[in-house]
Amino acid sequence: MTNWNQIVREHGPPAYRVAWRILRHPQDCEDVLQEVFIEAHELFVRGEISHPRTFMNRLVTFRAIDLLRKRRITDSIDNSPIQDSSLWDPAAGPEATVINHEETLRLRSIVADLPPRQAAVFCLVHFEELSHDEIASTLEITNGAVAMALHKARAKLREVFDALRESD
Amino acid sequence: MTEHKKWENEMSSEFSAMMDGFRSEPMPEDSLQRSLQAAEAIVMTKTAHRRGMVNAAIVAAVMYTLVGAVSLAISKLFHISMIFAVGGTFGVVWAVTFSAFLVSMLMGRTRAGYLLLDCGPHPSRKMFLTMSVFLCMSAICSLVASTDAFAILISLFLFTFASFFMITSTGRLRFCENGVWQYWSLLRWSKIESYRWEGTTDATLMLQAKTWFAFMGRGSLPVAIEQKDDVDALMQQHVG
Repeated sequence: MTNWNQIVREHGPPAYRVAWRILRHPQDCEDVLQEVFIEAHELFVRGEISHPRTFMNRLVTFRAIDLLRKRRITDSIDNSPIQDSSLWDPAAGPEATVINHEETLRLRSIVADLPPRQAAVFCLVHFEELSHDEIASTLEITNGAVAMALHKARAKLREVFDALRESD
Repeated sequence: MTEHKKWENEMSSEFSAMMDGFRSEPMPEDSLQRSLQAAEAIVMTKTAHRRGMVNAAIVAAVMYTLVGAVSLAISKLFHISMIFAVGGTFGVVWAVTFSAFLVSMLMGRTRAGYLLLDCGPHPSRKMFLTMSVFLCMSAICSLVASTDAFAILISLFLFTFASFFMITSTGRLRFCENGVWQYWSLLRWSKIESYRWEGTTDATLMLQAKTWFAFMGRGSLPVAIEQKDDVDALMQQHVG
């Protein structure tokens, strides 16, 4: 039990951070973490996890993206809880806050639309700032696959944002 | 400048600032702590299951010993085969036990009083429901295969077993005016000798009831971590 508690205390906060940066919703993060820890517990008991950190990161990333996809950012800008976000500079003013919030929703929506691997690689690069080697190890794929997934994810993101800029 | 930062700047300065905001935003500490406590409680729930298994093993051992001893005595006294003696004895013991269970449950429900806090269904309800369906199907198969008196008797027993599991699958843990409704039986406040929370995250409520033998009065009730404070307040109020 002590061992499990140590694992939770050591790997829980980084795993929560991954979920938080993807979901930015406390209740959703708690749900994801609970699901991941239940799955992880069985495997820890059986001694099937040699690298808990990478295992937890991988599982949390994919589960969080799954949840993001399920949620499908359908909230309109007007209905979104802007005040919940502490991301924005209050000095920027309400107009800037709305624009930033709109961009945030858009980004999450695009990430949700990406294939799982591309979404995971994008999140780990841009939210967690992991190196390609670390991501390859976390997702158990080759460096080439990481580069390819990242390239496709960025291309998709650029395409959507460019189209939006032109429409504006 | 790192490669990902360069790409973000190429997108636009607003996009880059947004990504910086994403990365620097602090995590909600209370939500993080709740997650960690819930994760630690996974082991606590297993504690409750282990306690339940021990209790079930004790009851089974007592039942088997009782049925075995009575069957042996009947077999010797009436000169009938051991298998019939076991079947008859088990049938009587089960009929008495099931009746007592139903009476105790109905009486408990009427005496429980108003609801103070509902802590949800039994964690093993799916297993109970599966057992119930399996036993129902077995009873039906037995009736289809034969309609003689013995087959009808067997089916009847199987249906009562199925009913038992069906009832247990619908049980909920409730804290009521007059005691703790433990899924299908009422434990009055006055019958609770002591309680404690087991484990570092205190997710399993360990009860000790006032009984002749201490081991018979032990119970463990898994409680959702978010309800722990409410349950603890009720326990302090009624048990102290």
